[in-house]
Amino acid sequence: MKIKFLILFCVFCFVGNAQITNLNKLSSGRLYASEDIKDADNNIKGYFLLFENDKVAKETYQLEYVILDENLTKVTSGILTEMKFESFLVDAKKIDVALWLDKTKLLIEFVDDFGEVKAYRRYRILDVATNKLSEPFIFNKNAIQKNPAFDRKMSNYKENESDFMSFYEGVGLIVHSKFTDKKEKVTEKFLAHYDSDFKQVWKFIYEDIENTESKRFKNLEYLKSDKDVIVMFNHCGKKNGTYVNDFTSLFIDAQTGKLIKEFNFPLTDKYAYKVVDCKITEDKIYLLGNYSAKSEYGNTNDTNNLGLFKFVFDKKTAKQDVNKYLSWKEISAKLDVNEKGYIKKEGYLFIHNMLLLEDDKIVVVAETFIQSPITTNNMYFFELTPKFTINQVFEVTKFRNKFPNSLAHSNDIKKYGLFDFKNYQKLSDDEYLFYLSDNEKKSKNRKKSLLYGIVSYSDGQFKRQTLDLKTETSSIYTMNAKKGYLVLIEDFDEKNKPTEIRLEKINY
Amino acid sequence: MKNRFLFTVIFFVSVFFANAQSEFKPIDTSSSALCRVNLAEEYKGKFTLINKNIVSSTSAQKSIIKGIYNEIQESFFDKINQNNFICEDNLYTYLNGLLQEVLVKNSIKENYRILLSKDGDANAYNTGDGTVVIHYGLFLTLENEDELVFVIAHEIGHQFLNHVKSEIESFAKLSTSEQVINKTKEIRSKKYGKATMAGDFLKNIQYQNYAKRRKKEFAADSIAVAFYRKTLRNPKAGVTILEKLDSSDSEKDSLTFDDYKLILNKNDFKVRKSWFEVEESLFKKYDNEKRIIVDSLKTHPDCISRINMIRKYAGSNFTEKTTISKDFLSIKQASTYQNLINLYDQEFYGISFYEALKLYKKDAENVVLKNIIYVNLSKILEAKTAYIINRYVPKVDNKKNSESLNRFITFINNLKTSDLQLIINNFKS
Repeated sequence: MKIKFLILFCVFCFVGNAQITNLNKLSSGRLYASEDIKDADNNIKGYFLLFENDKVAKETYQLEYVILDENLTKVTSGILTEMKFESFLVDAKKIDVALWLDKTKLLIEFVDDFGEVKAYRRYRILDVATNKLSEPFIFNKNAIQKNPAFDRKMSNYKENESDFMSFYEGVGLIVHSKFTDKKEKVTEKFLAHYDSDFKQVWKFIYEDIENTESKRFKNLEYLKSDKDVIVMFNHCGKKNGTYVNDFTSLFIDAQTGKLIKEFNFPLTDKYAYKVVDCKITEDKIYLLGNYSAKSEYGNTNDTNNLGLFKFVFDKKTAKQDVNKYLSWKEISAKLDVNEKGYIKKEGYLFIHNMLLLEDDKIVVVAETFIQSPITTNNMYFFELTPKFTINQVFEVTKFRNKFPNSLAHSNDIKKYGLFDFKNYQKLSDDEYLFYLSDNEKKSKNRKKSLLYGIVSYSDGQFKRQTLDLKTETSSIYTMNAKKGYLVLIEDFDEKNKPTEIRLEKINY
Repeated sequence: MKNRFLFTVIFFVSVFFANAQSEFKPIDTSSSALCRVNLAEEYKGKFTLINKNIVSSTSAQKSIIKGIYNEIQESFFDKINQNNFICEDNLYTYLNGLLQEVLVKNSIKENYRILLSKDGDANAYNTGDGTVVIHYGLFLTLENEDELVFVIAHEIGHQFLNHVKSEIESFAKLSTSEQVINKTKEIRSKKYGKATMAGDFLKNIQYQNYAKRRKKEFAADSIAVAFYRKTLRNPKAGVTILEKLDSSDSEKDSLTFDDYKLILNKNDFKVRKSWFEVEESLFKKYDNEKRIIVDSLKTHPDCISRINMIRKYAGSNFTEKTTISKDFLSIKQASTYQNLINLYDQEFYGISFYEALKLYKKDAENVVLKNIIYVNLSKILEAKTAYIINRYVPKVDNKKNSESLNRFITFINNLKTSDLQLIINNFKS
């Protein structure tokens, strides 16, 4: 037992905590953002919190960041000064953050959050080995600019905005310049890799609008990478910015930035594709996803969804080795689903994840939904064999959530967090935990009767358990936690009883 | 709560008396329900009188003082209701005897009261109304009665110098002072930097308060030396207890993987190495609290300074003779086991189990420890099933916990409920 205090004159503590109310109110900050720090396997390594402490000048704020480790212990904190756009017409509501982890470096994106729109991206790097936070930097005018002078004038917007930056797994800092602007003489779309001293290692120009005759334009999104290869998904578009039903994948040498190969998705005259998960192993690259009947803009057709695909490539050459499709029809013996992915009284299947296991099996996480009114229903977990056939289906029944007078494509339902599937944790190469929220059926007071579903996949078996977060004296909320755990936050009705934050190991 | 407590009492009493090998007798808590009612009644009367006699020059100050007293008193009632205080006649008579010894020998006529709490850390406090509370965990550190008397003298010192009352009153005065009111107005009128200014001002007030408190600790030590000297006990006690407290922060024993194998491998249960594997944390360096400049804010001066001060006041003609009365010896001997039971009573099942395991590895035949392990594990299993284990077992903390404690927590969390049941069966008598 650790002894924290010496002979304690304890009453003084009460007095010390009894702050002078008005001064205390004036000195307290507000939470801007709370983000999970995750590793490449989607497991929580810590938490990043950002608070606004003070307004120190026009459009200038003193912020405080706090880093907690995976056990919710405070690691470090610090003060920084940031600008936030304010004008007669519109104010940024807050400064939002996004995080990328690469070994011991955490790249933090700060962005003014206007609600639907986010602008004025800038970045800092926190070195978790020393707890030192870098000065802000942006990528603008083809170069990384350290400590840029932000003035936030609308006329100066382009000077203040950064191209997208992130850490690519196994590679490091990558600048992704996605947009061209002839007026500003920005004619190239490219990826550029920078080292820790901000020196350019390589630059891969994937489109130059000055020197192309193609009518198809590339829209690249990062899928996965390791020290050898970067895999990007390209949903082709037109000059006017709209998408078309055409898809490619680019395999780029992570060391040199040279294109290894561009793979054209097959049968695009019939199918639309969405890569759900990508996995890179020692010698192979897996693209796992969902395909549907083709659509005008290339979005998977929610109501004419056809099934799953698995494309496997040789890692060195990017030559395709395997090309497999699994239509819903082929799994109808194990699940009552029609050829368009529709399950009676429930809706169409939406694929959340396709997770490759060590023995080449795949676990698929699916949830049924209806576009209008937006409705989410039961969940299904499939185990696919190495030959890409169905081995088992595990059904998870849950409360039907309906949002009256609404309409959305499944991608937007996912984007706005309306599905009940929440997250997964990779426990080992063949063990996963899946989390979903649920509401008790026939519940009168849903707030006090929240159920939390946990599905485990271990030793080839799916098991479901339900945590009853219902209590007569408190409200319980959940938060993502480190591998195998769940954070439960319990707010008690009883006056003065402090909120309990518990880190609980999942029993499975 | 009542039922749980009764069960514990019956269980321990029956088990421990059944064991002829052990001479350990747990504290008889059969009258705790009645004691709780009596204590609540006693302090209700005491607090009513205190609240009635609050005198202040302005109504604003009076209101602040009332508020603070109210907070302190509510917290004290919570402790009473949670059975935090140990009610046992012999223990009370013994501790009150020591309290009276200091009071009588110093001709202090005021009404004082001594209570023993179940808290496991080496601590004591004065509530400001004449009550001195000794933590039971202090007995784990104390080596003789003289040291205990010095601690009591220190707490009497705080009361004698009216530290709590004067602290509350000066806080109320400061809160309503022109200085604070004007400063608050000034800060409010600023366009930018309000929070920083308010924070800095508050910090400044805190620094001043802490500096005053440190002085008060020295003052309590000084007067404790004077009070204690009149008891004619070994003058060295003030020094030796502070030396022990100075080094009491480090864990004295640990549990390794081999220890767990030695203790737990039995029948169908085999300890697995994987249960102890902690995933490497991303973070290696933890900052100290930046907002607190340790030297400025430390409520208690470091032990070395206090020891030097006591040496100066007490003189250096220390004798080696210490008082170890029969009563003290009896409490001291029982303290190791009793502390585990107190931890259990306070629902610190994880720590009670952990500390019991450390003792059990050296004494595998010990029935008392075996039963303490059993009851704690049963509670942990219940909690694990209900997803409330972190209420009773602390979480891994790479900053504060020892490696051994983190290993223990990881082990407990990684055990499946079926594994826990196997261990429980092995410890069932």
